[in-house]
Amino acid sequence: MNVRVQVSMVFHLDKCIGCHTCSLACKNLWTSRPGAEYMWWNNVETKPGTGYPTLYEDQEEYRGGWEVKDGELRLKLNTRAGELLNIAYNPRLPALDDYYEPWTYTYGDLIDGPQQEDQPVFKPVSLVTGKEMEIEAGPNWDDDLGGSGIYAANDPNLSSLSGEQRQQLLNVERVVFFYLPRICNHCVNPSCVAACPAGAIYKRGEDGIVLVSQEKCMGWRMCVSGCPYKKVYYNWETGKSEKCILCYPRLETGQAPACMHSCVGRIRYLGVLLYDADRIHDTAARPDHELVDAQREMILDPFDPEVVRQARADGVAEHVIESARKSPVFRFVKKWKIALPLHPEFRTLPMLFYVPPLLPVTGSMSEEGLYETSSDFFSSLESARLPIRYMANLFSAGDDEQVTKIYRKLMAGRYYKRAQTVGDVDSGKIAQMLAEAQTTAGELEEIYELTSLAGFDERFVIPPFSREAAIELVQITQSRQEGGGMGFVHEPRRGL
Amino acid sequence: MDQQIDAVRMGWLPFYPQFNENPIEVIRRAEQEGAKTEAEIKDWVVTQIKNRRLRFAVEDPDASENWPRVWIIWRANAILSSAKGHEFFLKHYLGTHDNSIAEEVAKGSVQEALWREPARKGKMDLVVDLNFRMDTSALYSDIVLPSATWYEKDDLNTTDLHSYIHPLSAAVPPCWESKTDWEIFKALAAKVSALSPRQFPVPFRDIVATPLLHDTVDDLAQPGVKGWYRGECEPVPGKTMPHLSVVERDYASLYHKFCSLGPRFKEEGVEERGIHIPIGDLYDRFAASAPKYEWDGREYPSLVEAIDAANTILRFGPETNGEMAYRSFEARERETGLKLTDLARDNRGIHYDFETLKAQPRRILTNACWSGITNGGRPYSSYCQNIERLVPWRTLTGRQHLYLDHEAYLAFGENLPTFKPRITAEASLNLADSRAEGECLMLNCLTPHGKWHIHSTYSDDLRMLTLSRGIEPFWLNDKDAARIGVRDNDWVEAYNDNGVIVTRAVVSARIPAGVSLFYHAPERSIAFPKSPLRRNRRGGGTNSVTRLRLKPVLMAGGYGQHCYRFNDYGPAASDRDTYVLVRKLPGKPQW
Repeated sequence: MNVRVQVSMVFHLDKCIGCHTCSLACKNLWTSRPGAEYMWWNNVETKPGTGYPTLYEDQEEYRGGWEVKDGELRLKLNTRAGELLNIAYNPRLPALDDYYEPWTYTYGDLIDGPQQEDQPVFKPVSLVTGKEMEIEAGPNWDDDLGGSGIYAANDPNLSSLSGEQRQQLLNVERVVFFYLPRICNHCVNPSCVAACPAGAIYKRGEDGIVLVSQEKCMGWRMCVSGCPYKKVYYNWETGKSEKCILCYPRLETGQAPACMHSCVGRIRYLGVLLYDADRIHDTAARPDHELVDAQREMILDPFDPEVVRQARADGVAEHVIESARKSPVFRFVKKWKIALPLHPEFRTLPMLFYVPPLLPVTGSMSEEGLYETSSDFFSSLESARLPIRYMANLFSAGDDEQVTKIYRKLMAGRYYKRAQTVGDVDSGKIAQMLAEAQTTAGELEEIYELTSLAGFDERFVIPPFSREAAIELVQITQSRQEGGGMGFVHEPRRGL
Repeated sequence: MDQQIDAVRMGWLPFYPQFNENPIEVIRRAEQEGAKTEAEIKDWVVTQIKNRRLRFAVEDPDASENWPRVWIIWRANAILSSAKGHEFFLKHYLGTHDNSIAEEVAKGSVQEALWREPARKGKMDLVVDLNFRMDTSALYSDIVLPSATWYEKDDLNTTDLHSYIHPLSAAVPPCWESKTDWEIFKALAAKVSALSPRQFPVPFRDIVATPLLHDTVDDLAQPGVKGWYRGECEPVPGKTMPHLSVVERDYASLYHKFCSLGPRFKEEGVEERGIHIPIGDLYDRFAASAPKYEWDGREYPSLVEAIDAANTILRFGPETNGEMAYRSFEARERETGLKLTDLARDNRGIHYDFETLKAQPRRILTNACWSGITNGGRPYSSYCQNIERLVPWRTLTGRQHLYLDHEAYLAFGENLPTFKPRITAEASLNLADSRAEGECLMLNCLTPHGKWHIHSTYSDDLRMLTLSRGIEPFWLNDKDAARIGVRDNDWVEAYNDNGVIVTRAVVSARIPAGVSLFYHAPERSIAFPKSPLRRNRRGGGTNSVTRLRLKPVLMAGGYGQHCYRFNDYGPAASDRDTYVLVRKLPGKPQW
């Protein structure tokens, strides 16, 4: 056992309203710069939909992530040798058309435009060429377009559904969509790191945040291809790649990442996970249907004395272990087992997790013109608007049972609370649902508390940053304070 | 229109301008004919109205003396977003280009309004806009007064849709020549005062008509619908017709009055939702510590700075001053005989001033002017006081009731809520003069709230335009779209007699067949091209395809809860009855 620390996030998708405030907070803070306009370190996708960049989930096209071939875990992109041969030619890159051409408008036309006989307007101009342009794509082009024959219908996750199931999703009574916020998954087995010929990408030891060194990056863009989530972006102005940094400057000062801090629906939870680094390779190489369970086993229980002993031996600070015990992420992922990684079959061991959404029930127009919902809408998974298979394709490498188990628990929770607050469900039914979901009233209460009532301090639990550890990297700590970051070495210069 | 005229005559709705004669001149004539006191003047005016020697302006809206003439726009994109029937506003208010082709159809069907041909255009002489962006209202204004944005001014924001009071505090000064709203209005007041010695050397009197108001004794004014102008009753101000008040205007002192909190406030106290809260002692205490403004030898609490005004509001608002909240319940107790002050006892010592709010937005305190109970961190929900504490509902019966026995509702058959089918396109008159051009669809056009459009400029921002389609799109059902050969992101032209919209299509099975959506209210200057169908003029915004059509029963007032109150009770428009024809835009869009 080799205990490491990961700052990790859970997204509760039932609570996401698709307002994109997280995307804006991130964009305003980090990527409103020349060359970074098209970067959305945080974006929110309508699902079913094609995502951003378009169809990024299709690894037959993009060859991101890992595969097991001849018993060996290796980059899907190519082998190390092949990569060096192809280093100057990389056909697996998304191009501008797969993203979009960022634009602004000729705002000045409203004030400086020529006199005319009609109301003036401003027109779109490209932020790349500076020329007038027609807007044909955007970073959220299929927003709310569940039921679109162009976008939703081409979601790669629908591929294993039956033709009838797919057709139903286009009927107005069955039309459905939900939102999927995405940032870098700060993977434990990151393919961007493995793909980088310059060794510029690294995973921080203290919190597992994956970063691109702007000094070492040489702009080969293998990371862009290597990342199956397309969460590394190439800055065409600086010639370097960039990605989500999980707002580490904010984390180090005890603040939540901007995306989380601004979240209107309070869907995000941030906390520490301990995991066993000795198991990374074995976990990532397991067959598809074992990936979710294997990753959950790789994540360690901070209440287990054996884990704690080893964590201490591996240099994990006491307050980090304490924090891991209070981690809301630990509870969702490991204890209650109701949060899943996105596309575990990419085998990067993504360390962000999603509570799958309980979608609206199906309804239909009766002959009398009344809208009727199915009567068993709390209990029947079969009548869920999106087939379980679709969720399984997103969150469990196609293993329906993993998703079904979670839905049984979530539905048991809803029924249990409904019995409490409305009182129209009989106790026999509740007992049956709890048994089927292999849960208890106590656990459901806990889930309810953290899902519905938790305040910010319960949703955001990280250990304080070990300032002394950073300082001792660069200087002797047994000196007086003026050498240690407080006070000024010389008088500050002021004025413009 | 006849309904509207009736409603104004009976005091159900306000209408400005008020009379077909300058109200200052009305007073002068009254004085010349011997009326001196307020009561005599009002009697004289009533007689004039009764004998039709003085007319309500609404009876002849096209007569030049009845045009509104001056429009000051503040905190609104009024010419586009608020103007249901935008193109008609362009035509009749501004007298500029417009895309309406609707013919006048009311001839012969209006009895009370004087019919004039042609309908008059350009009724505004001066449009002034306080604005922080160059939107449609600013583009069509004569004068734009550039105003500060949210982080450049000290101000307060609140709404009845949530329970917080938001302070805006100036992080940076206003850019270039822009000023805060408070400074702009103060400068206007100063200018009026400076010009007054020549135009209005002495104070003068003005007569003001106001409608019968909700939550006042006016609720009991009219147990039946009787028109004095039909000889069914006598015209009595505040009973069978609008209230009349004689008001003294002292424009030379306008600036001083703007800058000072006057003594009448102390005497009259705060009146809200049917209760009166005395404030004499609070005023004195406030005046002792507030910044001072001195004029004409007297000292007043100052309103010179925006913060002074904000603090005055916060001091006397039952939402932000626990003592005022307590007194509001005392007043409600007197009215209802219930015990209620316990709801405010714990908060009695709390008072939020501007600095308190700057540190952290606060929730409104539980008070009798609002119906929620938020004590102990409880979420705001309306009507808790009515349900839990049995405070009578503000209705005729004091209960929730569905049956409305107002004679106007009885006459329209709407005394009980019943299903009414959507009106047909023919009945809507939206398409009387518009013809289908080539492959064309007729669709019901809805203009709902989009998720980034809730009465906000947010969706117009570059970021939000980037996260949508770069323009406000027109939503169509997929099968409908296929019938006219429109694919997602194609340009479409949606038009009716009222006007035209040219924009991109979004095609989705989410939209039911026969229906289209165009969320309100995008700014028209954002990349909307021209319309080949309408002489290559600029396509419009949401309100280019709507027109103002008021529901008559909602004009009815003077009885119980039906009385008018600004932004609270009055006629709403029926936008959902809008129909359009939609076609694929031929050729490339032209700007």
